[in-house]
Amino acid sequence: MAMETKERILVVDDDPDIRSLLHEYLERNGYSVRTAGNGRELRMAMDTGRYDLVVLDIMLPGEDGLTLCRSLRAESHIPIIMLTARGDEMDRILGLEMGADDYLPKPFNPRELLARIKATLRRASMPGRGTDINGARRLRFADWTLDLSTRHLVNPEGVVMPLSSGEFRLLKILLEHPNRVLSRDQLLDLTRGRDRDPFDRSIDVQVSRLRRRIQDDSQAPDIIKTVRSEGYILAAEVTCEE
Amino acid sequence: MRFAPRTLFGRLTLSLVILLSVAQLLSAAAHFYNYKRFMLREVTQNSAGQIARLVRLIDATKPSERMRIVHALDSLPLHVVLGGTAPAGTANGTDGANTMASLLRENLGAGFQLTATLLHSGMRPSQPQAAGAQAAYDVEVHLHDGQSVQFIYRLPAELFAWRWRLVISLSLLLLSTMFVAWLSVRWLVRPLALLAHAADDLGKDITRPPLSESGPEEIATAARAFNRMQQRLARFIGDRARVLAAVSHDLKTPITRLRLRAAMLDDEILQHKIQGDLDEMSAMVSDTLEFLRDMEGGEPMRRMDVVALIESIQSDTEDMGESFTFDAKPIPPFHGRPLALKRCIGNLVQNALSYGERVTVRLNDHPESLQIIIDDRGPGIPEALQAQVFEPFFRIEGSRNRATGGTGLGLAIARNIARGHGGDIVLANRAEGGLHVAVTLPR
Repeated sequence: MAMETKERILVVDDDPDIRSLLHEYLERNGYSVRTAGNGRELRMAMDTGRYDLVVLDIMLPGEDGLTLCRSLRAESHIPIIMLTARGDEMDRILGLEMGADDYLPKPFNPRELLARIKATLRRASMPGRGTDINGARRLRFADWTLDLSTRHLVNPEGVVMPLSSGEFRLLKILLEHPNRVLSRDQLLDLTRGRDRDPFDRSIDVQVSRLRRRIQDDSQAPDIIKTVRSEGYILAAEVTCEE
Repeated sequence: MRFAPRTLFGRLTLSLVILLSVAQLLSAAAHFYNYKRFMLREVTQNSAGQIARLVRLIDATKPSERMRIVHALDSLPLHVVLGGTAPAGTANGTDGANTMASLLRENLGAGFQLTATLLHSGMRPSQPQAAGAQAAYDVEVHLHDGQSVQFIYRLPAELFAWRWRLVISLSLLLLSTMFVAWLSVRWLVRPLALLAHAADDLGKDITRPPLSESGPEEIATAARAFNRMQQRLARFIGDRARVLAAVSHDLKTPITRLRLRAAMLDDEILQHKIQGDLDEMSAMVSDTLEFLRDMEGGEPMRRMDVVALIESIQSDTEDMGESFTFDAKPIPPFHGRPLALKRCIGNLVQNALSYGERVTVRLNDHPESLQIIIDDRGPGIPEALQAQVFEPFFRIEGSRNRATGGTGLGLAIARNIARGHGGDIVLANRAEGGLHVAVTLPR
């Protein structure tokens, strides 16, 4: 990989050791990294350089990560992965609401972080990025609702239908790209990159599970349609809530 | 105290009844005894006066006229016989008879010879009254001309019926005493029962509402002490939970650092081992925090599809290369906390998959409760340990090691969640081998 094609990542964390370790780890894995220890350094870095992605710790002295995330999001579409040591639901909900693209609780597995960085960059670079779901807490489609904070599907009667991790990831990707054909490879790319890789079912299995869950007839599906020899398409209007 | 009642209530009631009965028995006996003596004296004085007047009248009458007069005078309760002799019967020199004799002598002066006897009085318990016989004074007086006159003065029957009255009135008193004793003791003992109930509740819910501090001073003091103890216990538990949470939380940063350091090691075998250790440490940290969080609750109750919940666990399980059977039949929506319940059932399923095989999950839906049953074919859990396995960090020696055993919090978390829904988890070994886990949740 030539130097100029290296993707640039800005790491913001108040722990100097973690900062330098992440710096070294990500550089070893082919990224160009700069670090910041607080909000002021983050702004300085943003003013003086261009980045493809920000890894942002939620607990920072002074201005906290959530506030920084919101102000970053107000200025640009730069992908943001939030890190937190709190690990409770509230952080995830807030992080997503503040416009973070992904969320990773500490102590994370470094490989997991790499996978998420890759997936987030891939999504960001997809031509004609789909629905801008930044800041959305719920996505509505065809009377169904996907709750992004609790990762639940809610049926038209308001009953919560829990989803498996695989089903949630696939449905989220589909909802981010409504009415667009996504090939199996693209779907695999976009949904992959979590800790359970080796056993992930094929996209077809996940799709058939999802269809069953949203009562979409697999012989004549209305919502998740098969496009022969191309892939799948989510045929529905998607609206964001909150 | 072999025959003493076992309860405080019984003991208090019994001693109150005995105390009051003895007091009543004594006072009633004294009362009736005095009453009888008083009545007897009255009757004796009256009859002595009457007899004395008659003696003087008969004495002053000519012997030829006496028969007619006696005849006219003979009317109840005084029977008068000329020249009679004392009838066969129990005779004694009782107080009553002596009093009668001395009263007569006082009234008549020394000119008359007389004897007085009390018949069938029954005053002595050792002398049973002859059936049908009535108590009477038998007085024989020798007139101045040598003729004798016999007077039989019948005493009112009521005077000697006192024992029956005593028995009846005492029984009534005893019954009412027992009733009042029962009522008042119950009133006194009730706060104690409330206290015991509260102490029992405390084991299940440390945040239960405080006891009312009203009532008798001693009980109110006990209630206040109990409430203070509850507060201190809650604070103590809270402090410990906060310390545990803080420690677990603070471990996250060093574990993150270690993970990054390990990721950059060149020795891949060592790196793999260290990452394994770190995985274990972070599982313990996150399980501990999860355990503490579930104790607080917080997730809102939602209408949820339990069949979809179990199917989502099934999909996750299959994605990780394991599987269980689930016979999905639709059931009406359940009101519960979806994330918590998924964790609860997920932990139980994971447990069954780790220690058993051929895992099956079933739902038993009833109008008042929902039962989720997880069966496996495996070694099961010895009955003696079935309660202990729910304790945090408890592991069965040998069979449950770190490699397969997780952190030792899975079952504790699962039970906390079930209890947080007002339900519980019950374990049993299956006859055909393996563990049977039943989660019962009220609808």
